[in-house]
Amino acid sequence: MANLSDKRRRSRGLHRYSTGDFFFDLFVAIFMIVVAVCSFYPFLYILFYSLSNVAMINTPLLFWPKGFTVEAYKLLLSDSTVPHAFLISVLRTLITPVCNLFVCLLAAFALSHQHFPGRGFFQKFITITMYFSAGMIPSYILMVRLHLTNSFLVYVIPGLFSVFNMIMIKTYIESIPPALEESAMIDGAGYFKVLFRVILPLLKPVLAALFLFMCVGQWNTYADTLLYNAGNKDLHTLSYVLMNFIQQSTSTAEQARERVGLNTVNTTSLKMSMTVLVVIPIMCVYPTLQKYFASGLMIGSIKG
Amino acid sequence: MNFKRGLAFALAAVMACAALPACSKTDNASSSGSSASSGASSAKVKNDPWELDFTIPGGKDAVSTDNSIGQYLKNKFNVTIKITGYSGDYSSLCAGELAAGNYPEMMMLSDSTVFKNYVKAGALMDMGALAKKYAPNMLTFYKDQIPLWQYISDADGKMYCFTADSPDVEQTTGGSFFDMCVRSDIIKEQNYPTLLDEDSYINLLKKGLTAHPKTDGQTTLGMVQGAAENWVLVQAMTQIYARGKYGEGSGILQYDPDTKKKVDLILDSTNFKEGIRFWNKMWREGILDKECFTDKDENAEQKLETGRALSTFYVTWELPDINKALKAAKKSQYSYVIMPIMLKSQIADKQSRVGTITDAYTSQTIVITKNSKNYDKIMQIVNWACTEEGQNLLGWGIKGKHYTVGTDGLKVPTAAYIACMNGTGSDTHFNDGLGNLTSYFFFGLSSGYDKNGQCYNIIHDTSVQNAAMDNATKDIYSHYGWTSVTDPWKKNKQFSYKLIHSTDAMSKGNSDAQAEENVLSTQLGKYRDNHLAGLIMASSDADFEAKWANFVAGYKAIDPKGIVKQKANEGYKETQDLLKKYKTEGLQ
Amino acid sequence: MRKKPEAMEATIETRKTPRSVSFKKYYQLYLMLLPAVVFLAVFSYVPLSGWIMAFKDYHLGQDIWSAKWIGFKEFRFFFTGTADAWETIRNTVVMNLMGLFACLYISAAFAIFLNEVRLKKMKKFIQTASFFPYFVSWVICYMIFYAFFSKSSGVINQLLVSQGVISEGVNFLGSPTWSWWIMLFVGVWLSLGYDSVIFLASIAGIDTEQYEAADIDGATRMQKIRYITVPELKPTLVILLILNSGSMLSSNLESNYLFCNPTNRSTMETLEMYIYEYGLSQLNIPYATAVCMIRTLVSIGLFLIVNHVAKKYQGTSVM
Repeated sequence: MANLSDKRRRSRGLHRYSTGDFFFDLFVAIFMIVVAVCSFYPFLYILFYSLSNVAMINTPLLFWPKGFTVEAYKLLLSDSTVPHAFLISVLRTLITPVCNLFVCLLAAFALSHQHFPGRGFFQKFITITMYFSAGMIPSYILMVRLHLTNSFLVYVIPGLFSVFNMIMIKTYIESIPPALEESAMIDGAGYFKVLFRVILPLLKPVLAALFLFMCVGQWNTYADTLLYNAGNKDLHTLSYVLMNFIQQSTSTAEQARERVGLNTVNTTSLKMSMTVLVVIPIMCVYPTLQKYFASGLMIGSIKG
Repeated sequence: MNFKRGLAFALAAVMACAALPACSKTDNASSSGSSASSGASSAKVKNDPWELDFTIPGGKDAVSTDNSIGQYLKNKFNVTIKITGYSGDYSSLCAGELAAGNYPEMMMLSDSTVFKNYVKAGALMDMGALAKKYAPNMLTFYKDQIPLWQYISDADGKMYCFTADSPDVEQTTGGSFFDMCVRSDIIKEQNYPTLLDEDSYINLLKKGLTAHPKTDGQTTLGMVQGAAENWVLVQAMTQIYARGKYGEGSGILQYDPDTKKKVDLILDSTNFKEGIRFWNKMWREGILDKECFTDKDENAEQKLETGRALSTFYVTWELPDINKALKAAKKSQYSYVIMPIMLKSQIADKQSRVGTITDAYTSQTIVITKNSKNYDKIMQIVNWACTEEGQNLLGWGIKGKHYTVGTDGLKVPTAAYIACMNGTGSDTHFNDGLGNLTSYFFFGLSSGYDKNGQCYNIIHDTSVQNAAMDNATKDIYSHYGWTSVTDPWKKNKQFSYKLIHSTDAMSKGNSDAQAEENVLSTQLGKYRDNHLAGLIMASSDADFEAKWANFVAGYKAIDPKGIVKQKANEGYKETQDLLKKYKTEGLQ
Repeated sequence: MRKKPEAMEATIETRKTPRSVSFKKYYQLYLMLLPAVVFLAVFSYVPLSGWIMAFKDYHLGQDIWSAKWIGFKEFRFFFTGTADAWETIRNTVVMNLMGLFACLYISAAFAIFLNEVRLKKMKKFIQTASFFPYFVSWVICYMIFYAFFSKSSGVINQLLVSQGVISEGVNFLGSPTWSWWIMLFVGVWLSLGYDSVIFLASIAGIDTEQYEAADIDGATRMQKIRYITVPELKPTLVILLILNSGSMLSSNLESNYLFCNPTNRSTMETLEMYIYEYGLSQLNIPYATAVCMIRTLVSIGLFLIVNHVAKKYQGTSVM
């Protein structure tokens, strides 16, 4: 199929490249350049700042690091808990999204059917919880009662389901022609088989997108570590360790003794370095997921 | 529909079952209640190895056996202390722990509201009873503080906490006062002029700006402040009024030591107005950085670290780092020096400059909760801490290693200690276990003075502070006839110096946040804060006066009957009576 | 809504079967729903039992049953207090509305046009680059915006002044007129890459046969976008709008706290900040719970209204 449309595009006989096309391409190019610069330059700025000797920065713009130094990174990674924290972060970033998407997938598929008893009730029951907030104290009490404090499970279990993901998947499923499911069921497949054999392969773009969102969320978050696992070094995540380091090094009046690299770094460059460190692993995973949602996927297999 | 009803019932059952545990009494409330009455009357406690977990907001994760002080404690008490530094919202965490019942056995409660909630919920052990049984030394060593601890416990004379850093040294960090920080080179260039009132500083800075229009290629700024942060504008910048007889305070009422009453800063004195007028003049003369209202603390700090700013106000605790950064950038001629400032109206009024002694740090209550298994062992350490030996170890370290004792009986820090403190020592962890936030202050380390007049905490000792003075400060102070870091305030020929005690100013407030006086007080505070920027940016003297008149009119309209002041003064009298009562009646 | 082809009509007739048969037929679907339902029952519905604290004079650690009943006292206090807060409500709603529409429409446009980029490598790079701002924490975000938009130190103002366009820097960060536009720009900048991923995923699912048919008919690229891509994206757009409508009165405390300063308060301060300063930080549990309740009920109300409107006029809805 891909070859067909490429050939069509290349054979100018169908559609000549007009001036309209040229201006269109120009507009697209300008739009993209603006977006790329606005998004990417600040990140470069962060990168250069983190690699600079802060005493030598006297202009607001940076096109390269001034007084190149990796002191900020050395400081941040000097803590002995970093390797283990990295492992914990990786574990939660992989385990929780997979479990979450599995549960959301099941619920989304079920709710995409219009005509089974109780559908309306379940739909409402699930959707309005999106706006529930009971406050910090009842949530904290719940976690303690469920014995989730001081354990790795507090990273997984509260994240097992999210209404937003379910709705996204459900919307996607609803745009798939029902004939597909129909023909599978006529062939004798039960709902589970239909879901995993027929529907699931078609959901790759939305699942990839949601998986990416969840990974980013899990990787970046430290609020739950702070609240529930602060006392247990073995359960600290990487983002928590980095955040903690930066907070601690600015809170005591005796920081001078602790900050070996005092002269070349300051709080801001430490924060910038933390941003870079947190971004890099995600950027390694990103291209793999990108190919699922950025390029086309053929659904032309359905023919009446 | 049967189906729906069945499902609904099942759901309700699930919810009910899950909700029940959350509603039941915490099982800790009943156990260990009879703590203080069990066991032998002497404080003999078993010496098995045990662990203590302690969380410090803003502290650093540490295990006690990693440093020499902790090692000493291990040898003496067989205890390993694990400290967890908490960098989030500590009050919320404590609140959650109280609600869920999983609070640790010993805690520092850094919020008086949280502390009162703990007391009210019955989650704490009676510290008074514990002290009588296991730590009698506390009753003598802290006899001046005990009435205060009874007072903040607010429980009919019972005592549920003790506090560390009590009494505290005059003012705070390192003995220096929160005052003007000025770039040293302009003082030198202008030949060490007399500096005290607003005009002297305005002149100094104006001349400085003319002499240095640019610093290293960037426009020089007369004064920077990180006023985008709320606290800088409403708590730091307004404190100019407090450079006289009123001590530090960010409320709308202040304690007047002359009349011994609470007065309204805006309505009852000119100090606040003149303080804001100072900022207005600075703004109009182009000295105050026009970006100050959008600068965060970090932005202002960066302007100081490059030497681009000629001055700042209040944030004196940041100076050591800023000066070190300047030194590293080979710009130490720009080092900042702390100098006192006082309003013309205060000088004319012959007001003294006031230093406050905080008799008890109510924001650092140390408590032992009903979840405690080792309360007797903890109190044994506290008992030891309330002796000269204990205070020396916790506050000064190990004799011979961190300090030595001279022939006059005074403690002197060793060179190794000073080197580590200044960052020039080889072992960066030499001083671990001492000082702010790495010490074991929570066993009851005081910041008061011993019989020789030395502070129990080494970081407040004048010899230590003087050793930390940088060259620019030494040079400039010597030209004014000052030798010690506290001389500009205590030995200034232009004003007298007075000490007031925080207890004198205490006033019992109403803990009900919805009480009329509290609502009015919040409204008054917000009104004041919302108008400060406008007043500072007034375009002329006449404009300032007009804006001020409007401001006062609106202010009066919020609380025309003066309820807030009236209740505060009633509360003041109530507090002083209570304190007297506790002093005479003793521990209940 | 799922389209109903003729084949489905037949099955509808057979649905008028006894309940037991229904259950046997659909038990797999109920099983699929079970994990989600149990999860929500425990994590969303059970904490709601804490709402009872809004009606009682409850102090932390106290036994909830023995606390005194105070009825709607806290709610009355909230409403009398926030009567003065109309300005913050206005700010919150304006910023949320502007932000929501801008973010969604610009992200959708970006996704559509990104799809039109011919060079694959360029396309990948731009898409990856657009994602970076999402990782920037709010604190760093303020630092970056400060570096660019600050009155005298900011790059943009320095450029404009040095070129003689203006004599003094524009006070982007400190003036009430610019607050809403700055927050809009911040919002779009931060979430462009993130939001566009959803739209890209939707575009990826569009049947290419439609484009081929349009090619045969000689359609230009703008026409293809207008008549194929946009209608296909509409359901996603509407769904996202509906889902975000419930948060119309909420705001992110951290971001607003950072960008709010004494000089732009009148247009920058949001309802959340107002409520927080008014007493949420006093550990007044009944009051905090009452505020939680009100916030939840208002959000659900808004959501239901917008959902209903969308269903009626667009045919798409969340439920």
